[in-house]
Amino acid sequence: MRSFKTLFIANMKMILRDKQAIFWMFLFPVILMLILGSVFGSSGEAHLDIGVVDLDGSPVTEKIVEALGEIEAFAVHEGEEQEILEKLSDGELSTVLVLQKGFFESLEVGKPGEATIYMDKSNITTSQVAASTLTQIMDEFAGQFVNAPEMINISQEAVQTDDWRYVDFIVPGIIAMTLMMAGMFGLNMEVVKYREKGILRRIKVSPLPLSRFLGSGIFVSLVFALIQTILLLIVGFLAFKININGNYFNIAFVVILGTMSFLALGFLVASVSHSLKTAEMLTNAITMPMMFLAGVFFPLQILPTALVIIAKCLPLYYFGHALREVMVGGASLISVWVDLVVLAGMGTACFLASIKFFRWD
Amino acid sequence: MPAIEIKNLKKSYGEIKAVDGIDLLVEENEVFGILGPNGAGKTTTLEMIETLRRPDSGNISVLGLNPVKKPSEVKEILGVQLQTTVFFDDLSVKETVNLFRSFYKKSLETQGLLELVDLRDKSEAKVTDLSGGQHKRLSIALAVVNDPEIIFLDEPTTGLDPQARRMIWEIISRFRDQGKTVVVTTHYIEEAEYLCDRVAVMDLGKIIVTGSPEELIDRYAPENIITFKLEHDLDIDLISSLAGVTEARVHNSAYTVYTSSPEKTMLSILQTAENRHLAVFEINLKKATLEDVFLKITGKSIRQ
Repeated sequence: MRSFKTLFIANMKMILRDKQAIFWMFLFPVILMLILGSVFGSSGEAHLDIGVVDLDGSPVTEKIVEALGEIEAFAVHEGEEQEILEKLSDGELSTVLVLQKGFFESLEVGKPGEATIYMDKSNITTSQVAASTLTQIMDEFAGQFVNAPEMINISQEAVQTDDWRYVDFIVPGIIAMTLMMAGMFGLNMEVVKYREKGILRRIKVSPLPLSRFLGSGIFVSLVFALIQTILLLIVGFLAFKININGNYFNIAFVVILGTMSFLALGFLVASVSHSLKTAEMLTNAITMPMMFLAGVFFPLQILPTALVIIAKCLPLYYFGHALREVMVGGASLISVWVDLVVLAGMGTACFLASIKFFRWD
Repeated sequence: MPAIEIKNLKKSYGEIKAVDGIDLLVEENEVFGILGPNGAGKTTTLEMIETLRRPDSGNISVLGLNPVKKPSEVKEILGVQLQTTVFFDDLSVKETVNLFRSFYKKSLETQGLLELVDLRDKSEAKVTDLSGGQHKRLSIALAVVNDPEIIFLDEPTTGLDPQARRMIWEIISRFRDQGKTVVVTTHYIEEAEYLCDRVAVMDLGKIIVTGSPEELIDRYAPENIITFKLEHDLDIDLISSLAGVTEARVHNSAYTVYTSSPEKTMLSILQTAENRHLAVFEINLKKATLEDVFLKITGKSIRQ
């Protein structure tokens, strides 16, 4: 155990003394977050696809639909209830508003009009953005009609969140991306360097088991992952007042699982690469598309279908999604089980493969 | 019990027989050299003893322990310096030593270790700021952090200037004084002659001969060597027939003559030249070295 502690301290020192590592781990994501947050954060939400079904067909409901169409952030799709709901479950729409039959009649007799908002359960975050905006618009609309503000009765699957904004979307995305980068350009690159320089061989002739040597490195990486997360959340909160609705245990769980998963992917790259150069090229080839295509900066809804399919093939998508749902949406771990299974599966597979391909020199 | 006992050890890489059936016996408390050109199989032999490589066949015993069957026990009593000596960039000398100390069950004090290799005043320096010689000395300190019974040094002075080399020789002599067994590989003749109680000469995966440097020279190259140049070339047969000459060679007007009675040969060379009114340049007399032993046995030079 003495060696674990000594290795832990040595590893911490080495990272803290490596200025380049500090830049990429801490400074770069903070700068990125500040830039993206201030450029896009103020211009409101990204453009969202909304489905509207008008079952009432009355002049009032028609006017509501018309008014929604004028909102720039929304692309409104009209259609039959079944067809629109199918689109929602296919992920093409983020939210569906159904104006129920008898909406106008109810208003006429002084009762609230019935409307339902359907949200995409697997993507609560973007749905929430849409739903809360819809609710707000409906409220305003009702205000014009009658005196009572509660003229429209909206039932929705509520995960109570006020004020959803773009920054709430990108902060978890940037955290996921940063942890991926730290996992794939961190310990694994050190291992490749150690192998090239012969340090691994030097360790092999000592009684220290490799598992302890790497275990301490992984432990240090996880500690840094949590520090990075905390730092980015603090910056996100101070600069943009982002909403953190999740419980801290769940957030930490997703952070650790995701980081381990990408560490394993990084190890696999290290094991199959013959030199540091190859490892770096391979890692770039893996991380670059993920940065831009995995939906960590922009919601998938604004991307063409082909890119959505690609995004869903990228592990970072699942990390970003889980982190966002848990962190901002306040979702439980069970509700993001798909993401967690994908991350755990990738981690385990990569870990086993990297053991198989591991070389000392 | 011998420190190391090797029987019929073999290791091939594909078609290449890196180690081709060697026997070796290293006694306790001796400095044992493995001498040979690059690619002779020195490093592979060491790596098999150090548990880095698995032998194809044959037997190794390190103080009675088999490195294949009991690698962790063997690692605790071995001290190893590998040929490439690079450490963690961002750690200081002291931190590096402390880190390696933690790898072993028992270890020596950091200050004492640094003193042993004359790096005490460098303890706070970053390893990247060390000179080549200091670097090698640090790697020797790391090789002995666990106070090992047997110390392996793989080409400890390669690439160092003569002064830095001397310092390392001094450190190795200290190990002998402490009662340690040291196994050192080298392709420097002077190093083997200066340091080693006994040497094994290796070439092409085989051990050609084993013995103390003096023994080997007496046995394989007992003659003295006279080298000289002449104003005009003389017939090599004439040179060969001079008093005491056992062998004579000429290459680019430079003559190399092996002799069992150096004074007589020297005199007759000078007389022969005088009689023919030829000037003699750069005449030298030297004793044979392990280099000549190697040359005699293999017919080639140890440094290619």
